[in-house]
Amino acid sequence: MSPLPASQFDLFVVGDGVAAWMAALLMKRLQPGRAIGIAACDAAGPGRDDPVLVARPGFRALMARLGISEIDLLEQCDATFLLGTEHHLGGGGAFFQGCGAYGAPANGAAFHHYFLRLRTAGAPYPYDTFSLGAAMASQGKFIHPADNPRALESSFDYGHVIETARFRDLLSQTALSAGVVRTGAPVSEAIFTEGRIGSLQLEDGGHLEAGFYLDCSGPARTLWPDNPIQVLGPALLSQTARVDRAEQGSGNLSRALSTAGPSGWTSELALQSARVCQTFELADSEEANAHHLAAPWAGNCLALGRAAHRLSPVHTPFLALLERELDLLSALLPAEPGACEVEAREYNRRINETYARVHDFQTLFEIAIATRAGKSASAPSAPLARKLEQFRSRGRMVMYDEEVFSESEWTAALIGLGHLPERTSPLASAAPIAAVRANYEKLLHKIGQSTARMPDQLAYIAHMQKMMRESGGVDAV
Amino acid sequence: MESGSTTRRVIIAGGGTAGWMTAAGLSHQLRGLGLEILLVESEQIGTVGVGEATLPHMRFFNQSLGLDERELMAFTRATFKLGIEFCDWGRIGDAYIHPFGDYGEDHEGIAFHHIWQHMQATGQAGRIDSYSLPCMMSEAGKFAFPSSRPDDLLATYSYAYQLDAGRYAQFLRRFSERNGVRRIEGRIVDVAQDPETGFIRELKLESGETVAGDLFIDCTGFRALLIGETMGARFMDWSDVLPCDRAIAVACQSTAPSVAYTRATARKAGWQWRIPLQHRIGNGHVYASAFVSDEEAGDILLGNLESAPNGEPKLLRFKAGQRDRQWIGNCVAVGLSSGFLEPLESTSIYLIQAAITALIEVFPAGTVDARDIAEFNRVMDLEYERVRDFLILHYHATERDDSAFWDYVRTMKIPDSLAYKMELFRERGIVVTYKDGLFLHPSWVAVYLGQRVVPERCDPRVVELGDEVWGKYAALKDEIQTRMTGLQSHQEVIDAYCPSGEEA
Repeated sequence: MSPLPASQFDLFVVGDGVAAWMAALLMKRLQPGRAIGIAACDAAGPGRDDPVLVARPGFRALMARLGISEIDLLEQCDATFLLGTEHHLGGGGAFFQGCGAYGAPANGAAFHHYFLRLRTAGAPYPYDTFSLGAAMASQGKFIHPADNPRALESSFDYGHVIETARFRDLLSQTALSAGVVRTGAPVSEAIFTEGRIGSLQLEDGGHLEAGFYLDCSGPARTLWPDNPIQVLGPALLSQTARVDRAEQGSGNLSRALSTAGPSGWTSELALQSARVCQTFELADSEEANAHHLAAPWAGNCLALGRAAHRLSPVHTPFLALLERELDLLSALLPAEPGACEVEAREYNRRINETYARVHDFQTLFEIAIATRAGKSASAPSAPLARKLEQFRSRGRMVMYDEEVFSESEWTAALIGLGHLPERTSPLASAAPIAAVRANYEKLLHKIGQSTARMPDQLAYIAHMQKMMRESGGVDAV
Repeated sequence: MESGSTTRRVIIAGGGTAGWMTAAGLSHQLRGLGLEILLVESEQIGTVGVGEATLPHMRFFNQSLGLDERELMAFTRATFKLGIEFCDWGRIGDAYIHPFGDYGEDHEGIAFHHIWQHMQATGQAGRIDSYSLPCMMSEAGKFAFPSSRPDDLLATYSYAYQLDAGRYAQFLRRFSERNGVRRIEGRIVDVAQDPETGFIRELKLESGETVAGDLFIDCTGFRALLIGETMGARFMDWSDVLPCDRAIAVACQSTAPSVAYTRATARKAGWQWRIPLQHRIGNGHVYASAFVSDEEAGDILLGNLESAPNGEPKLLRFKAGQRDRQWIGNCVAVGLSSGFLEPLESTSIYLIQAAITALIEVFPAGTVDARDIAEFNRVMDLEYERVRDFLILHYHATERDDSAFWDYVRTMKIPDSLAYKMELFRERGIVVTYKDGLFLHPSWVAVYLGQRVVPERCDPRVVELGDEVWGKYAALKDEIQTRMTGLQSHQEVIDAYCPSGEEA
């Protein structure tokens, strides 16, 4: 039997999950005139994604580029607004890790130096009481941040919790409407010519050709299974999680909960209609090593999402990493698919740094969980060790290129996990402690007043939807 | 981890710009620590004092001290600076301005220089400078303060100063002494160290007086008396990639209204600066002595002045490079003692400022801690390396082959870090930027394009942009021209805002 005639595409995406459809849609939006195709493969599929996804603040800009509005996410993906994560460490210890500001800097010194001075002086306030986002999250409140940078209500930021299957459906419908072409038969393998993918073999015996390929087939890496990996280090937490789903009721939608157990931890994320609990256990096998492809972009093929990396599920980083992968791809779009070595080199340099920095942040939590469980913790990477040393030494936060988690999140996590600095910045020492205390107590009062005026998130979402129906636009509540 | 005694007494060895900036920064920012700060300097020892051009970062240093800009500019006879004009670098006859601001604006994630390159290829663009308000203001001799409204065209740039560095040091001396800094006149003849720790214990002066302290800041200039001669920091020589090692400086009278930019004109074996202050023009010829004699270099300088020199030219010798450690024990190097990168991009005062900022952030309010030293040295190494790469780019990105000097710098082996950056830009127009780099995206674009490093490939989306996009950029160019017509001249702004009262 002779092969079917080849279909021709400028770019072809292999996969059927969120990464695949998001990548296909973005490529179509960026280059509407190009032929973008997509096909599933046996190894990939929506069932392999997490049941819920966590989006960080930068996700909103990506959604705007995709042509998907916030109201679409709320109405079609059961999404909620997420202000941060409340971590319960056991033994009564808890802290909030949000994207927004904690306190306010003064005289060139970050707020946490003043917090430490207050703490030493006996002030009874936990670090996160100085965060408006934390106050809102603890009470389930939400409004959009204010535009005026001087307003207290501009001091927080937010992400989303999104129901994965519905989000994948929204992405696929939007992509197909935008002109992405879905082929009928799944892809079985890539056929290489001189170290590059020449064409794809389909399961029905057909084949297709493209100038450039995106492998979003998940851990199977259907297009380039032999592409070497680079190990980042042990990821103590097993990906095999138990998922429980419960009716939402009138619970708090604005925060995620992360509760440490004797040998792992449980995370709870809120959708509008349900609460999704995932339980993660410690694992010791080499299988649990965090890793990524040494060269996610090789030749004319780029691996995205779980085809490119396997990191710990701590902080549900999948969507944040996908956002960064797509941002980088957008900035480095191959001008000529046959000659894109420099683009690939720069992409790999930056994305590998990104994976390493996310792994560092996860390691911070995994060390705490492993220590609690009486297991030996993995050694931090050299950059993380430097960061820990500098923070413990004098509260100096070392931030590197390609960080995903913000300086305020790192600070909240380090303080929350008990890495308290031995010394504070000399810049924070000029003001008398009484003045510092009066100043920040005034802030606490404002935070209390502001939060009291805000609506619950469910009410806020209902208001947004009503405004949308009545006027075609959304006003602030 | 810790050693030495609690820091109560800080000794700054050497005055000049570095010494008095350090004194001002420490005495103001660390006023809560109750430090005693002493500065030892000798009137017999001159300062280099040619660092007259600055970067916008200096404004933030001055603001952090609460200095009054009008008063400072009048006292230092300063002018505003919107960028640097480079003449004859890529080829003889070429000229471009490296502005302290943006070119155009990006479109849906496509960097403006890709759009400009495509427009130029289709004959729609004109010079890239015409999409930059600071470039156009510089050329027209105009100036306006930037706007704080982010959507305003006047918010697309920043500014620095061109000033008399000697008078800047005097200004900061007055400020520092008001803050309690004590100046000791004297020449340092010996340095006593603790035999066990190697820490500096005291400075011995020619008068016989001794000055003891807990922390010593080396601002002794090229000599590096404390960090080099005493503590043994090794000098890392970068003259293989930055071969200029001499400068001859002389001032002359202004013959025209001042302009808000510095000029750097490439010469046979180096380059010549022109820095307009309110009362004079600062001039200097930076050159590589392996390629031109001192006598010929002096002739080149004097032959290219716009008016008679104010005095005898002053010769400076230096070597490009940095100390392998800028903080050892209880000794921190600030300024020329820590290293030297030639003044091509006005980075000397910036590097002083960077060291002071880093020192304040990790200041040993208790005892000296090895972790603070490691962090300070890491931060400063990064600063030096990234400035170095940007400076080398100016020499290496050239088509000039009219002298042995230009043949050398055009073909020399450059650091891998810079080679990587240049390859990315040359092949695909990608600008490699880092979180901690001093020079941002527009600065790299200015020098690349200004010196004929043109990308072979662009962002593929530019060919799909429609007429409305091209119309937007045509409108931007027109708006810049329209805004220009309403602006005052640079001289008018100086006369109204900060006249020095000195005769031009």
